[in-house]
Amino acid sequence: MESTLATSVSAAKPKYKLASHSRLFLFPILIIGVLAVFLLELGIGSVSIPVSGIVGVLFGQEVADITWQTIILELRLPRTLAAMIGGAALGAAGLQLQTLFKNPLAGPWALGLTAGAQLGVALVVTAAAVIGSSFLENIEILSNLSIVAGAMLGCLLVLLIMVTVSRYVSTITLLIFGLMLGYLAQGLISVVLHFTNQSQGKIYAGWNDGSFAGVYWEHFPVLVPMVVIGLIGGWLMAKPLNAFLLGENYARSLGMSVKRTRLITLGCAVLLAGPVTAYCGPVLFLGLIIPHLSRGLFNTSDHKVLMPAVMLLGAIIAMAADLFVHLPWEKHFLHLNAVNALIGAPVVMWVILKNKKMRGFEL
Amino acid sequence: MATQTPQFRILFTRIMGLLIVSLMNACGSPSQKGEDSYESYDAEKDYFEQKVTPAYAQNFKVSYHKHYKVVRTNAELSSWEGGGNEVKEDVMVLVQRGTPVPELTGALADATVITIPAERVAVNIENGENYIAELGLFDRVVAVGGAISYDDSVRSRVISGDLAQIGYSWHQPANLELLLERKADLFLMNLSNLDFASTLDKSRQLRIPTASVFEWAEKSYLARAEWIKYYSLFFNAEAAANEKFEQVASSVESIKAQMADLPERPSMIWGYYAGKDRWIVHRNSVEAQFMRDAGVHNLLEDFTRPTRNSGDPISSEALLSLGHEANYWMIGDVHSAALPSDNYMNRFDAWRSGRLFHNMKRSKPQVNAFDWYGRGAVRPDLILADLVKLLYPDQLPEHELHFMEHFDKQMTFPLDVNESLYN
Repeated sequence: MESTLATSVSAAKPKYKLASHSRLFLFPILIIGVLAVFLLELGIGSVSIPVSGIVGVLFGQEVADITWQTIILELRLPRTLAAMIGGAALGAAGLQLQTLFKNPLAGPWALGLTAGAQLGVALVVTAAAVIGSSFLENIEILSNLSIVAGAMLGCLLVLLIMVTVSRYVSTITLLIFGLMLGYLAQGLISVVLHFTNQSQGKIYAGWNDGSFAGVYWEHFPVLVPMVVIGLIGGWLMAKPLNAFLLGENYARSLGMSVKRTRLITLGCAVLLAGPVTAYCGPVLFLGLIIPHLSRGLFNTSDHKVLMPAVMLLGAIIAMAADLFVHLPWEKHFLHLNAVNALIGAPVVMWVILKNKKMRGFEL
Repeated sequence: MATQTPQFRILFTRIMGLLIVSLMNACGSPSQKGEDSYESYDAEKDYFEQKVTPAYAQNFKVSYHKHYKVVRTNAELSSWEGGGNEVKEDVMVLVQRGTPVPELTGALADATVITIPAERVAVNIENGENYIAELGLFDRVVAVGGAISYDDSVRSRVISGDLAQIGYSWHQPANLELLLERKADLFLMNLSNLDFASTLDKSRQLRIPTASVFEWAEKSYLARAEWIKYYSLFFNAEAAANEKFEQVASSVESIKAQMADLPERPSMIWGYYAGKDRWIVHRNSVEAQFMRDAGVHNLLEDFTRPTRNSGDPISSEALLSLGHEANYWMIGDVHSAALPSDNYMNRFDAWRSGRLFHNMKRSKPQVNAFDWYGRGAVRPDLILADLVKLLYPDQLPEHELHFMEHFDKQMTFPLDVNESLYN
């Protein structure tokens, strides 16, 4: 038994690429990038505000137009912070799920977690229509908690199904299963909403259009603690996840409890993806592509490096996508998920072409 | 089975042929039956003594020809799926029952023939029900879009199955099976989505007399209201339509004249929250015209923009920048989304001072019924009067608010207001 384990470990070792210290200088660049995009997000929008006005508002000085203060402090700042937190959270959740499922295309969206959250929210708004809104409002402790609960429960339910299924099927089958689960959820949502009333349908439709702009200050007391716990958990799980890269047997040989690691990691993923999806609606692609971009940038699979990398890169990409959406376009609104798809779909194609296992898949 | 004789095959073919011919005869439209039996037809008689002439409406025209009417409609349709735009022009010949179909040549070669007056009518939009009800002809309706009529009796008839549900035009193409089953002799098909345009052709192929309705494309509220005249054409109810529309138009003109010479015009915005950072506001729409005619200055007004009766999207920050000094705010479609936080809303003068209105007074949200979408287009005089009454309570002392009322900030839309507005 010992020799078998040793053989499997030695065979697996070359696949585990340690962090290249020569690339750690990228962290300061990423931090500067976060700050730069953050400031651009605050500075650019559909209303033109001079730099002096932005600086004045940020430093609490008197500005020429009182509405600038509201625009920056009540609209742009919470939206920007939501994008920053959302990008970091989705990136971290994606990294954890890809390692846990040993699947390069795993992510909150591909695994059906987003669809689960959508179904949860659809059921909540329908319940509001059937039971009567006051019931749901009375059991709420904080604003929108029922929507958060719906999204989190839907997310968790799908994740548990996927974990169970993942033990019996291959990578490709699991992805197809996740896709089908997503379609099933969409079908159920469509049927459920068909029988609800127009107002509730509009609430769902509004939520379902993923955007960081729906997050206001009053949402942060719920959003931030959950995401922070998820991120800290993810950080603490970096070492066990590194061991997971070399296989469950190797992890066991290090004295790790595979079951406990799996549960904690899944819990962290739900804490990261659930609240973000609940408050921002389904934000596609970010959880899937950010880990790949981070791996490419740092040329490592080491979670101790990747975890902060996905947070920073996730924050940058999410804020940049949100900035693009909120540039002062003349016509209508761009949709965040459309911009995400422009960035995300080519990355997914690149991953598929790069991955031998997937490239060689034939029916 | 493999040893069928030639005689059997001939017999089988003849039986099938007879069946097909019988079926085709059975499916013939009422207008085609008895084409030659026009015993009481008088070629010199003017069958339509009462006539209508659209004065405001641009999207329909009518000409009278003793025993038939030629009706033309037009609109630019857009695909809601992003499939582009297309101008649709439709020609219909409405032939008096018991008179011959005129020779359809030249411009009428492709016209759709519809026998009038219609007896069994289907509509696929809420305001279609109201135009017909306003003419006092709702008893001829056999099918409606669905079960969200504001009128309880109509809704209960729909639920009981007495009226068929063929689907609303904004939601789905019409259910043609039901139209056939209910033997509709007129389908007044509201068509605004290019993606559903093929249903108009399909319906006609199935010999369901189908008329296109483009009331939504009109660029003024009186033009929309004038479509009551269009509806009347199919029932020979022109006299009623003229009378009803004259009342509406004269009331509107009277109020406009009354409000024209105000020394000061307060400012106002009209827009509802669509969730996230989006608002839908009125810059160049019939709602913007209502504000202008009611004697207020719409801070968002821009009549140089293309007309969008559904409103223009605007970001939260742009709305704040342009509209925070407005004296009044029509919150609009209040059941769409819960309003944003007080931190944002309190930046608006109108919100802080509570000078807020909404236009969903006649709402039954638990059953999806909002009369604004049903009767609003038909009775713009009531809307204008409501607005004036809210802004200038002394100007129309006799008027009682119909569609609009003051908005109470304590309402936690979209959920709790349902009960407070019910009935």
